[in-house]
Amino acid sequence: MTCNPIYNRCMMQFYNPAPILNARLAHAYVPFQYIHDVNCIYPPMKGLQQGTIFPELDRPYGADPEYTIDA
Amino acid sequence: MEMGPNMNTHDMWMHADMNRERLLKEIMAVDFTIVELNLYLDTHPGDRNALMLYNSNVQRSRMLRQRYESMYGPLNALMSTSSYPWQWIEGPWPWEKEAL
Repeated sequence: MTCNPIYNRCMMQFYNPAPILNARLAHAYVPFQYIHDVNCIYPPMKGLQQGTIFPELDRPYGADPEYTIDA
Repeated sequence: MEMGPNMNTHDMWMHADMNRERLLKEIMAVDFTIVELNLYLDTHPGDRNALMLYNSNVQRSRMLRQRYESMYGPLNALMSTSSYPWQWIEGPWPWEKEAL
């Protein structure tokens, strides 16, 4: 279970639970980030290594095939 | 590397240099966390927990910088005090270091 990031409690923050209601055509929407659990934030050395302290933003290039061209 | 009374001068120097590098990297890591929380707080000024984390990291950075400067000299040419003679020009500069 631990190898799949979807089951990781901290990674769940990536999924915005609130749908965007009454979305208008031709408008772009970005879900608002919110720290639900401050304990999920990476310790400094891990943050420096990953390039972010937020696990929900830690998506290295190539990890998600949908956004990967050549990895 | 052998530690203790049999350690030769070169090893002792290497050991001191490794500690210096480790401390410098810790400062870089804490400062990166501070920048990240700075950006987050710009859009979330009312997040008390994030603010507490930011403040504790700033305090930790100050403590680490003070420790570094007391042992190895100034981190910054403008905002650090120096003992005599002017320490800023002392090496090693980043390009003079061996890869660790």
